[in-house]
Amino acid sequence: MGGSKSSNVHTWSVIRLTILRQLRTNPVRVLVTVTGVAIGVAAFTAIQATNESVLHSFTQAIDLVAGRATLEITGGEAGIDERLLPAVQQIDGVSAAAPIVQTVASVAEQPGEALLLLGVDLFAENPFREYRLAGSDRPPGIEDLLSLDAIFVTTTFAEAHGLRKGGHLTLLVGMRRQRFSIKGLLAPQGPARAFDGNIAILDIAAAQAAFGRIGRLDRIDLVTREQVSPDEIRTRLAKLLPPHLTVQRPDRRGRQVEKMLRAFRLNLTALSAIALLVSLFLVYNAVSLSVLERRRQIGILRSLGLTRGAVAALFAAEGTALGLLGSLLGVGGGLLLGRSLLRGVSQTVSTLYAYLRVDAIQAGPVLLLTALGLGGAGALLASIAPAYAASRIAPKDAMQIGSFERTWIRRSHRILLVGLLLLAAAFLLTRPGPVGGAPLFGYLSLACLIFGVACFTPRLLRLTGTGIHLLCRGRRAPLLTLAAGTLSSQVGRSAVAVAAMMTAVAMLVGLTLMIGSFRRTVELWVEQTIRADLIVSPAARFVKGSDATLSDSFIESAARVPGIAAVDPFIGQRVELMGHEGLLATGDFEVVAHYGRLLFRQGESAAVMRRAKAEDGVIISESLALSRGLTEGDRVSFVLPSGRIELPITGVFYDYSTDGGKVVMDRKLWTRLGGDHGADMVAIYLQPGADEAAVRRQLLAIAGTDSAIALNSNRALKARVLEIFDNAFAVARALELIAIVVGVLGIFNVLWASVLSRQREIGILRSVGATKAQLVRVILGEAGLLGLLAELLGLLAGIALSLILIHVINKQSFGWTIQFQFSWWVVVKSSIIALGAALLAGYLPARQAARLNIPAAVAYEG
Amino acid sequence: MTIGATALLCLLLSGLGASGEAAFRQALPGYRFVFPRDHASHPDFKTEWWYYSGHLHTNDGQRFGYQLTFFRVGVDPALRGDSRSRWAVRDLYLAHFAISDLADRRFQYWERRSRGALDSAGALTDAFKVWNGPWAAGGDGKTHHLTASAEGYAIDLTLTPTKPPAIHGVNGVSQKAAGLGHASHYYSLTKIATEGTLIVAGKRLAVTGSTWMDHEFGVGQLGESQAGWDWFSIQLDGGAELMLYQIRRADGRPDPYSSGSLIRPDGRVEHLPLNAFSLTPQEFWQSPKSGGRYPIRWRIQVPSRRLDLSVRAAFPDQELDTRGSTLVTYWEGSVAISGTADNRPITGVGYLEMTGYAAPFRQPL
Repeated sequence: MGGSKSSNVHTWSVIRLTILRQLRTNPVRVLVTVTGVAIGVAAFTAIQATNESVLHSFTQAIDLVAGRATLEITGGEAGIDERLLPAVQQIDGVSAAAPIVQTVASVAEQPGEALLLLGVDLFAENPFREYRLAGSDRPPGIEDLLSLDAIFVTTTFAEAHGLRKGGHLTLLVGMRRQRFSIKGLLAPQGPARAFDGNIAILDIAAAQAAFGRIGRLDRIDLVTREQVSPDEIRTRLAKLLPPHLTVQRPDRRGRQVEKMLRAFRLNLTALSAIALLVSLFLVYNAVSLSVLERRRQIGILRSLGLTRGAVAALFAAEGTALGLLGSLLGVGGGLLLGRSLLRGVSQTVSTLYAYLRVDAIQAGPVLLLTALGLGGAGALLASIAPAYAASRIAPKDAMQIGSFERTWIRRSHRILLVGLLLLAAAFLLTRPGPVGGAPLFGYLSLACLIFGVACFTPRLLRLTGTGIHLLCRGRRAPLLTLAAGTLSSQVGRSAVAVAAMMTAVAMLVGLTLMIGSFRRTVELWVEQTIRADLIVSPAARFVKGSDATLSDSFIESAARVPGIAAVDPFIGQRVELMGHEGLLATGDFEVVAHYGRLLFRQGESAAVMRRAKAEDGVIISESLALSRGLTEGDRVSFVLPSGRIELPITGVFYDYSTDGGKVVMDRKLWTRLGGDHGADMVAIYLQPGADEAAVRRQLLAIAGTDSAIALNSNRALKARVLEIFDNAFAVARALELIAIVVGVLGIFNVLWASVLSRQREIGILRSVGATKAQLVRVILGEAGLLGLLAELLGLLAGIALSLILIHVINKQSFGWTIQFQFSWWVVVKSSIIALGAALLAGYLPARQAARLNIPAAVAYEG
Repeated sequence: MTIGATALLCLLLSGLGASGEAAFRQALPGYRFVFPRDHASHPDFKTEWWYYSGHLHTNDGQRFGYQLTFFRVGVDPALRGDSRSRWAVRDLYLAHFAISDLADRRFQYWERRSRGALDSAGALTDAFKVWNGPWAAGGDGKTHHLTASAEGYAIDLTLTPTKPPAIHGVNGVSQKAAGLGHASHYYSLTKIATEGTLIVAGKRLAVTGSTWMDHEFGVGQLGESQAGWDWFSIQLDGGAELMLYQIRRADGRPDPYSSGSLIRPDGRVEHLPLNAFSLTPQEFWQSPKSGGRYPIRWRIQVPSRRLDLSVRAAFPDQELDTRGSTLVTYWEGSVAISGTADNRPITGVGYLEMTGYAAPFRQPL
């Protein structure tokens, strides 16, 4: 529309005629649509903000803890021999080198509460980090710094746990409960800000003793001279250091964490995008209804000289305004929702990937604008089609009743064709492999699937309507005939609502089937592979990064306990496995062959284990085999402190315990290669008829009174695995629910509009004798039919969705093979939800219809 | 690192009464010095330092002052228990290095700090060798060798003492406060011929000159009512040297345990109790960094020897402001001496150390 003053006035009056009038005459629809968009955008914002907060917490912690270090030397879980430090300090260009040992400790008696312990040389920290003590009381003396139980916690942590200077803190560190004495409180500055204050500082001598890491460092931080390039120093260091050590800039570690979490984050993002998509169907729906109701106005405006473009712009603006309003609310709601998701997500990440503590939601302006933009732009896109349809309305048609629906009927053939093409595309897109480790084509395939199935709704609605008509012909079922008639005569209004509900149902069914299949697969795997009667591990191990181990002497004594048939000590260390991080592990293959069992791709467990032991071979997880293109007989290579090792692959086994790939070797080979002593956990097999309670008592006695070991029975461990699994999918389940709510709002909108537009018809029905109850039943019948159709399509789409999730997305993201398991329960559940939701959505419109004043309704010119 | 630094401050300034005292040997009267054995470390005493200061010049007359000090502070053995960690602390080591460029009036200083793990710093007991990172002092009894370097500055000096060690105090003990054991064993090499290389702002210079060395071991320095000290090492042209220290009490008056020594040209040492000398500040300079107000011109009178000397800082700003690390902010610099001995004019060179003048700043703790 032009820019002159007169046309601005004109624009304003047109806006008033459309959007504002819409708000006045259809407040319910505006409310419902805006709410729907808000929920979708909120889901998206919440997931993104949670993701961003988790990443930010990591990178911020890395930055804060790295301080002024320009380079760092790390040695994975094998660590660094501290005797290398003097040589590192003498490298030209290194102006300071600081030794660091660190671990994650759990707070005793407070399950789930953990903190990062940083052991540093307090006298060599000056070039790297600054710690400030809170309060102005007496500064700590040398005995405060150097006593073996000295610890400095942050003021934040102290406040949260009711601690004060001079008090004590009992932590589970390594295999033991250790009582530390708080010698000072760190003001929230520098490293003390990491992980929202869940960090504590110890002197390195005390830390080495407490963590059981005498002689070893986890990291060496370096400050290098500005005149020498870090790359040059890296080259000099590389000549000096053993090959398993990495020299890198500290921020590289942030990028590694990002990479490690990418698949996890991408999955959540994709799910939240579906919720957003469902809410955009709602905008489409609302604008379509608005076009429908305003046909006469459009006709008048067009006769008065308004151009086609202006009509299209009007409705596009209406949709965009609804979208933006919803997005604004959604962004705010999303931040609130994100806060409540944060704890769960950060706990999952702590259990599965790396220790993390984050209390505050982080959402940068980019994220907020993206969410707003997606909501707004999505709404604009969603309103383009109905806006275009509005612009095609010729002034003469506008006055004709039913012409809108006739164009829909004409168009439904074309839509059907598009749907078929989209479904074909969805199928083809499952073929290509991942892009940079991410199943991008898989996500695209999901989108094609949803839109493709959505294209079937108009045709299906008509078919259903006609079908019911045919069925009811000659029978006395006036109410059903009425409902079916509305369906086929109001395809345009209903199709999108059904599509929205269908998408929600598809998401529900797809996720339920995928999670169910996955859970069943893991259950089977757990059932078949966890055979030990007792599993002993340091209690600190439940968060990643504790690196707590059981000592060799404990393992030896445990093996001699009466009633114990065999022990299998397990160690797993994160190393680089052919380009990506993975787990290098060891166990006693003879014990596993005799008592345990793994599920191999080829071969029987005991035979493969024994052959691997005899041939000095390794067994690798299926995910590693898939992602690195390895198979039985190939060789796998990795770097140990003793140098680069290459070993033949004897077997490939199914494993769901880690997503980075796993290489396992026999303990004898491990020891020969210079691997660590001790164990992360020990699987214990009892003799038949042994007294488990007595064995437990014995084990606890061996560990000692101050020990912090966890004894899990076979059943408890299995339950724990599934509990971790369920926690990991809690967010996905929340998103399912959100999609359903949005879908329900869509159906509600359609029925509400339908009742309003059919006031005259309803009035006539009432005046020819239809009772209020009958009317309610007609409307509810319509709602039920819509729900039923959405359920039908959603069920089919959902099954396809779960197949794509299982065979494309999960496989490409994590490398897990999941056995698809159909469950009839999902049909029952989704039917109940879809029908129930549809009837719920129909209830208010039905009541509204029943309440209509008959003469006024008959007089209504809809 | 404010935590560690604070502790060191405690150690250095309030050695008296610190915990773990009982684990260390006290400086008691009757100590017999044996050289070169006593140049080496005495880890059974809590505190020990080796201090070198000197005056260097090039052939073309450029003049410099230097100071290199190594501290060792023993830590209560109970703290490390039976720890097998190499990082368990037996002694903490500190070192200060400073260069005064008299022509440019430029004063540069650096410090190092180490717990001595993995031989990053240490002091041998069976031979004279003390080091902190790349800084080191050592010797074979006839000569000493000093090396230190930092940011374009370095010294590499060979020192040849021309006088026997001068043992301060009475009966082998230099008393610092009232009470048995509140003392140290303290000797000086007051006249050491010095030659070697000096690197100043990246420029390598051949230098010669003279050095003064102090070695002291015992308990810490100050009692609770003591606020700081002024310490003078003076090499007079006639071949005599003078060492004086005055402990200032919190109320401003000199502590009765202040004392000094006069070393005659033949090497004989005369003990000077507080009443044998007087120290009068005559001109002050206020440090813009720490706010400390230091006397930079002093009048020294030793009536019994008819000595009347004026001690003037080579230039005012020779303050080591180490609030960022060890927290001991002090003035230590090259001074020029003029005055009279037996009413005859006399000149000389010296080093002056003044502690406890910086206003008691609030710790960022």
